[in-house]
Amino acid sequence: MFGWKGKILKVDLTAAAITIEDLNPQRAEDFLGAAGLGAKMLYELVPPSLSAESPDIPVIFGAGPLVGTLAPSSGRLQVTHLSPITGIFGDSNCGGDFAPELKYAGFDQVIITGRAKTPVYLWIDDNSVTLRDASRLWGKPAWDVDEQIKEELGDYRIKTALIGPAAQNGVLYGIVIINKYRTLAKTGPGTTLARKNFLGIAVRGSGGIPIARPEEFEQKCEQLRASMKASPTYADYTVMGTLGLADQYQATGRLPTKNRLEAQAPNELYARISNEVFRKEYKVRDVACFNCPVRCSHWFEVRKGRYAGQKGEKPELVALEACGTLLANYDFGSICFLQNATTNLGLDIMEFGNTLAWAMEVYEKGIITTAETGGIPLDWGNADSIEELLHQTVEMRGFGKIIGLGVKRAAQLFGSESEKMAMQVKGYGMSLVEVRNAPSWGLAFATASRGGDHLKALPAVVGGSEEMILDLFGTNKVLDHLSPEGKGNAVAWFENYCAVLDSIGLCKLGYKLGWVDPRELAPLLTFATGVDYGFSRLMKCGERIYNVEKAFNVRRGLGRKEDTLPRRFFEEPVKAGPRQGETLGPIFDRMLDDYYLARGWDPASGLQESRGLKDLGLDEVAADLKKEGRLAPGKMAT
Amino acid sequence: MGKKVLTVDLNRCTGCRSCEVWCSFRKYRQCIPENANIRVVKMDRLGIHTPIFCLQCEEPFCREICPTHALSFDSQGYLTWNKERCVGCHACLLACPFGAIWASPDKEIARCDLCKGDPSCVRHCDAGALSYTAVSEIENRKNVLLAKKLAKQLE
Repeated sequence: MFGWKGKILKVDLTAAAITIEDLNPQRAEDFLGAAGLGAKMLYELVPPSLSAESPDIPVIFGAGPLVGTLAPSSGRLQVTHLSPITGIFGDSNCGGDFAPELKYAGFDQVIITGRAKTPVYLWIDDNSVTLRDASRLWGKPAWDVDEQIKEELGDYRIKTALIGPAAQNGVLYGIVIINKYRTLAKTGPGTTLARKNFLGIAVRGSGGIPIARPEEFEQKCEQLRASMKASPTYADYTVMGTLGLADQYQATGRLPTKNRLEAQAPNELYARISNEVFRKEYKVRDVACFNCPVRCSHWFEVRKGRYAGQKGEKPELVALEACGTLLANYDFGSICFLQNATTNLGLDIMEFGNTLAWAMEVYEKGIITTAETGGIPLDWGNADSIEELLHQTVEMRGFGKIIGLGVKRAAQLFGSESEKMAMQVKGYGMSLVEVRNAPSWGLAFATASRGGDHLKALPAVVGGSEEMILDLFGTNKVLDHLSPEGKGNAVAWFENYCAVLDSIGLCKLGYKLGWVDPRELAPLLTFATGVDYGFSRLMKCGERIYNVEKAFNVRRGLGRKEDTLPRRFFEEPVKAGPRQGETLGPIFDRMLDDYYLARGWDPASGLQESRGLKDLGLDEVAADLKKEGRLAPGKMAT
Repeated sequence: MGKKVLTVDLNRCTGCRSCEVWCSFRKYRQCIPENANIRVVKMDRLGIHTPIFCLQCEEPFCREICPTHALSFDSQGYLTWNKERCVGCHACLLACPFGAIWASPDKEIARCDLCKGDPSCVRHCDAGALSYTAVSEIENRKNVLLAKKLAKQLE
């Protein structure tokens, strides 16, 4: 095989048994790899009856066929599981260079099942794979564990994927930390692994990835690199990464502030955490993931104030919002501290921020008081309280025990008024884009398979020719950001495109529509693997993958009712700023109907139909849904 | 002008390892950084990444220790490796003070040969950290940067 390594590593922790199986080539072709293979495997291994509390949940790591190759931005790692916090389909994707190492060691997927009696970690040294005792390492911050493992195994080049003390102590949104600074954060994969007594994976690989058509592949990779670097906004990303969007959002009234009560921070306060402040006072140099020209991460140092001495990879847009504007915290040093602490101790900075934001709002409204918080005042922007709660949450003590449940479950403990202030979809806190004035993003959040998310679709067009837009969408209405027209079709398209990227192993940031022409992915994958992919075949793979994720959720009872947003975005228009008065109320249902029609699903129920599934080769999925009475009713159910 | 060599600006290296993967592809037509002629060391508590490569010493320890004269200077003064003469003893690995020679499959060694004058790593270093420059000009860019900083103070 070319591109793919053709091997799946299976680790049964209960029996302490390790097996290596062949990757079925037809399956690889149909589901591409990483996210796609992971979704199909999860669907097959996890019946709807399996509880999200069960230690039998498989955790599937994956590296796609292009990972570790010349393709730019090809370091992505995927994890798929049944989420312990949402109880539905869960996955996460990150950068760094762990995934290439997995490929060099010879593996496309690693499946962890069962539960170990005592803490262990997996050591993959090419094809010598062993489970090692992790009892001395359990409970320690991830950065220390990373170094101790490298010392114990004797090679600084070893790559690690580890859980931290937060997951081990029971935080429901525990993460997996890759080589210290990159994270698999969404949906709590660290928590699922912690319940298995599984500390993580150390890997070293000395092999390579053969390419089917090397000359053509090399040329295509050069072309894509040039395309990215020639884009007008490329330079901005090399300077600021996603933080660059913060200034834009502030200026255009799209910056989630104070639990989305506002869409813009007060200018004089925002000035303390602006792009200029970062560039002049905190930024040291650029950092990049594997083979990536975008270098959107940056090394920071805090030079003064109470957090002086903090160093690491910078807070991105989400961190600046989640622990900054969302909490009315305008202390950049504090945000840097929280970026480091949440990464090192192993919890999702976004879910933490979302939960704290809920807590601050219910505190402001008097639904909770210091009696409930154990004496901690939760006035907006109180950095001392935020730091104290971080420690309590990691240790699952005091009010931290509530924060550690995540925003939906925490809010449910305090009544229906409190629940209205939980900014979550399908059980996970929302990413930080103001959606009331961004229809396609609002729709994307509502339909994302894993909940609360913008990355399942990332419906952004940043450039590209009119010919390309018309070829891909059939209309250029997708470019009109404020109109609901064509957005249903667009979000479905982007979900398929992102499923492809997450499955072949490329970074969505680098392959934004306009930085590259997405149609180039087809020859790229063809030259690498030797398998003939046209663009429509490739996008059909994306559609297939997304339908499997949907079916997984449908079997667990989800339908149209769950494809929605918190009431705030329908009932409370933006209060002030450039986009004052915007709301999704009047347009949402129409966009959702359009989306279901674009997907070939029944708009009334939100369920899939048999014919569409069979057309994608998902006959067994159609049969399962039919048996369980979870196909679209009426004439579509043939 | 003199010999041209590889040099790196450590403030620009992002740790992306494009140099490794493109170097290995040029050699083997497959992506195998393990056998590249350039390796990046990451100091991840400091955020500093350092590509390591043959420095083209004027009086190389590796050439001195090689028992079969497989390492020698070519007509233009560049250190080159002759595979036919090599017996795979790996004494050069021990001798190089920087560890810029690595073992490779069969009896090969991995050592930067400057791609016959058009280094692939430099061409693919998107951050502009690696350059291929005359020895006499290595410090030029840094000198100019410092001079500019000092001048700013006096403006």
